Amino acid sequence: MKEISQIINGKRVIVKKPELLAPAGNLEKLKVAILYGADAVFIGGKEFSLRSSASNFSLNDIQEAVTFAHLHGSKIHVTCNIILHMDNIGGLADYLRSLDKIGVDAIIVADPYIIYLAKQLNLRLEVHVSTQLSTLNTSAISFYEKMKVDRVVLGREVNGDDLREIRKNTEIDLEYFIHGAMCIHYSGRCMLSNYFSRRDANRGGCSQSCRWYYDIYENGDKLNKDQIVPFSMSSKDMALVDYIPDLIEMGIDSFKIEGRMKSLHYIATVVSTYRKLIDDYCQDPDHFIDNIKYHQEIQKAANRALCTGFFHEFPNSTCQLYNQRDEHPTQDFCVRVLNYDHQSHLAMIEQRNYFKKGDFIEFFSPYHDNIVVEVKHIYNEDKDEVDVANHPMEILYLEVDVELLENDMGRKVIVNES
Amino acid sequence: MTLIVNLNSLDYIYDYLQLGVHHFIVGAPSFSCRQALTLSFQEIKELKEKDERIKVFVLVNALVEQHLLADLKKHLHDLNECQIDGILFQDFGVLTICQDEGYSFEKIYAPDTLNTNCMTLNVLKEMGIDGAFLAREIPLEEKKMIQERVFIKTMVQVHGVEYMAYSKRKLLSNYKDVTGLTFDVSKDTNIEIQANGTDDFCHIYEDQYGTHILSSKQLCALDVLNHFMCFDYLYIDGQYLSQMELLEIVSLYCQAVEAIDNQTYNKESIELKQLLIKLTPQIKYYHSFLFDSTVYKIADVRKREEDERNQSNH
Repeated sequence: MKEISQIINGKRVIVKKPELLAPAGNLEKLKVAILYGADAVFIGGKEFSLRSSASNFSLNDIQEAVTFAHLHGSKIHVTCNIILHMDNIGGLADYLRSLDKIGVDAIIVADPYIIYLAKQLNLRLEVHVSTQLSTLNTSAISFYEKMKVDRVVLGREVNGDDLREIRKNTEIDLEYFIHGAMCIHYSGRCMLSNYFSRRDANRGGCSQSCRWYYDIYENGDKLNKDQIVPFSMSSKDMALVDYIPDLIEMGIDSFKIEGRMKSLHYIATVVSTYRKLIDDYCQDPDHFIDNIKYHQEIQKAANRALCTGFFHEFPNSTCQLYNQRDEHPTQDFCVRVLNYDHQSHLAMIEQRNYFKKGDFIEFFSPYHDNIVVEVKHIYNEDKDEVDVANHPMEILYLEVDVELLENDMGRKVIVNES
Repeated sequence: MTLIVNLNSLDYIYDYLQLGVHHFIVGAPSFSCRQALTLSFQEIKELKEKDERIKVFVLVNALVEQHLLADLKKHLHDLNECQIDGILFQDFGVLTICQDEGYSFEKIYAPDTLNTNCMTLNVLKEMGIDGAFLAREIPLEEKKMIQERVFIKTMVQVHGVEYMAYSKRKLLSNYKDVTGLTFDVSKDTNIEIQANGTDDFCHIYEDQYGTHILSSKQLCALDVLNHFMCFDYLYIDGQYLSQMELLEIVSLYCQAVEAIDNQTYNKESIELKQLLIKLTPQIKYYHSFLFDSTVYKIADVRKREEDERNQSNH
């Protein structure tokens, strides 16, 4: 295994820095993920990918994504993670060749035939085993090693102790989920959507039936009578903010953030927070202070309550959602900065959500600490002052005394009136 | 074509043999999920010794955590010592160990949901599997296409409750914690869930490997069994059936096979299905996905939903 840290100038520093792998559902999100610190981004193509509800990328889009990513020193992984049916096989080889030609760095694969085919075609791109295959042990990893895969994305059910053992006992690249939604069942092994909605979960049609409400019966008698909350199988999202140092010290190669369907604001917030956390720890691991600021930052993007999945302890009832109203965004994404004029102190912005004079906006970026400003003056494109910003994507100007950077994002601070 | 039964009791073994059924699937105390019967290694040996025609396949279909690998290796060793005829597994770690140790029993890849095309199965044959349990959620025609194109044995379910989901979490215990309800989470109690807004119930229970969900309706292919003669193993599930019910159901399938051989099936299948319903009036039967297919592209999903809305408006 590669050396994880070295003493440089009398100080221990992390030399094996993990890859931060972010999701993106479209080109705009992909660019933001990279600008906000992702070392690699995973995207879905129009074919052979799960998450059929995500916009997904055409080959032209993928080409643009690769060009942008490589220009910024990042990588592109394309999900080819459907479980193939007989009518899905046509066009697969051409598609893989196209991805390779475009310069895609890796494909994420759940069907062993795609692994086999990619290797038979002698493609340059790496082949990563998807979490859809629920790989939990080194014996299963050996199976994939025989197939010459380059990386295994472990099942989310692998806990911290097992992960440490797996890392000690295999040389292959390991990818581990650090943040995002979790399937409540073993990935790829859930057919609830197929049975209830006739939508094939393993080909991207999942109707998330696990998150529905269910009545529960014992020998035909309903148990959830009266005011008792119905049965549900919805997991809180995972956030391993507290365990990033452990994962780095273990030598896990790639930290994955889930969420190709998530918003621009979510991606920017989550990616930049983990970027800062990883960088801060790697710079001086022995004096790293577990700062609450990372938690606070992540909470701003969380629209679902968070837990630590299987990593730290076996998930109990507190790791599940029994009431969808537990979802609670604390701040609204409302502004994207297009540029900043130092002389006039005007920031040209793109409106993303309603805000008005008197609101407080918190600007964030991977390149500076968060800046909170009160909205005192808003101007339209003709530089006429307006009181509210209520047109999506409208170009406006904000007077801000502190310097902002292109692509900074602003979120409206929601004041809790209670 | 061989009938293979997920056995729920040892009591009627000789009756099964008399029917001409020799292939049985059982669970063991470890690494087995969704078994109808759990046997110790000694009991497995004794079952094998009852009659030389008996073939015993053991479910080793848990997904295996890293810290259990040493136990798994010993478990497979002990099963091999019992001279079992095969295993049904879904964790490729199981296959790796079997290959490393040179175990020659049949290795049936049974991931419940993933065996959906022939190309993948032929790749997996090269990796060491001997057979595959085809996914339940694909139409019969697709199953046949796969069977025609693979070079391994194929197993398909023809009867019984169907697998729906498997979680490592204790979903029922967690729900009890939240609600304060008291009920037994094991398979012995008949716990069912029903999704709001649907008519379908599912069995749900917990064991040492987590939570398992199975359909309450049972697949029945008794009236279309003539379409299944091309497959190697026809699987009958004994879960959620009494010992006698399972024996009688297997008997009906044996009669159906005989009728197919005698070319009297078209007439007899109707009577056999009626007999089944009479024997088990509490069970709802259906053809599951045998003649139905799933959609996955969002455009197809929307089109189907629109069609359904239009139909309900007329």
